[in-house]
Amino acid sequence: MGQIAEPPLPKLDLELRRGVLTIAVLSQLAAPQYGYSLRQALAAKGMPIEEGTLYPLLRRLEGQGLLESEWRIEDGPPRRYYALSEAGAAALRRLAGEWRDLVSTMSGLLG
Amino acid sequence: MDAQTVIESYVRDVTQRLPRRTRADVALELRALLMEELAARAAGRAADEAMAVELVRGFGAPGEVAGRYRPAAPLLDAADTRPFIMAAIAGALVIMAGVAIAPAAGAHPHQAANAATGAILGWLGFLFVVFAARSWAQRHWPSLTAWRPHDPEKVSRAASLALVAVIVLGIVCYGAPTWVAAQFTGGPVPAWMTTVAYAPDFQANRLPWLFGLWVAQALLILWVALEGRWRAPTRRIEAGLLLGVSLALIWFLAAGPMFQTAAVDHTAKAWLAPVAILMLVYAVWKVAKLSRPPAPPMQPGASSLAI
Repeated sequence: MGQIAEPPLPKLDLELRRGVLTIAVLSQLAAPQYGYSLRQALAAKGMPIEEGTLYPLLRRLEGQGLLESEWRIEDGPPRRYYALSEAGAAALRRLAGEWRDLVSTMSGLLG
Repeated sequence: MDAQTVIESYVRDVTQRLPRRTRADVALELRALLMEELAARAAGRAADEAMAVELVRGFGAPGEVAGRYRPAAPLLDAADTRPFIMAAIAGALVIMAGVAIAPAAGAHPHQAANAATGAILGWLGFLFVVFAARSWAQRHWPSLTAWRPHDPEKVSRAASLALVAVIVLGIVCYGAPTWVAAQFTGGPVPAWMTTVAYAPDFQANRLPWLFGLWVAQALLILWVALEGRWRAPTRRIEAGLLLGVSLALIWFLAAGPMFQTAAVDHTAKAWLAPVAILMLVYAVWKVAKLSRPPAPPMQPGASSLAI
């Protein structure tokens, strides 16, 4: 019997996480945040996202009309703050519902 | 190089790959975010070049990051990679085989190799345009390019008759070129036709074999058109005739002159060589395909997951 190769788990993990990035980001933008602070907030809640993934994602979500942004100068350099648009809030509600259904289904499947 | 310069060069490399109208805005934000990340990593110390390089390398290659900012549709679909490579290799092999034969047909080897390089590059360019156009069409008109069920064994009678007409026309044009030319000119045969006269041995002993095979192909196509669809025996005869035609063409290349004028003969053989090889490869592939045992039909009611 040959040795069974280990499945490429790290990549599977990555693909699983990639699917929830959007909902994770939208969930944290009820109040405006800029890229770095959002990354810190997500990491603190157990969802670390690489900066090279998060910052372009914010721009893409804005391009899709799910986020709104504005430049602000507060206690430091100018920063671009992102927040949910109306369409983004609606999308978040829909995605959250789908996520809960999915979790319920998967819990049933996984036993 | 200091850390600031590293960040600046990275931001420039990323944004240069983005549409002009978004560059300044993305650059401003990306620069601010990277500087903030860098400051956090430095934790109060002065950030140096190594630290900045490590940060931007972790961020991703500029082209990759630009792609994340603005995902672009690929010129070629990933699903087309294998067909593209196979078509590219097949075309290149045919061209290279033509180069191998060309000296026998009188061409200078060096000139043949140069022509082959151009032909291979041209073939790759042609394939790229065809595949890219297909990908573009699939993205823009998915309903037009959607898959539809089709029966590969069903024949169109109109198309079959048209094909037979083409074969008959080929036999007439190749069999009696001077007569055809006279029909067009309405009088004497043009003087240039004498330069493309067949070599007597070729016309008497070799060309009739090709015409015989073409007649057999035409009769087969008519028979299949009457039946309405291809069946296993007619497919086998089709592959056999195709193999026969390709072998006849290779025989023409190898067995002495086809035309009386040497220059015409060389030119004709240089054109015929790739056609004959391509046809032979296709015929061998068809024969091999027919030699494989057919897949067993699915039993009614059987599950698609049953083993």
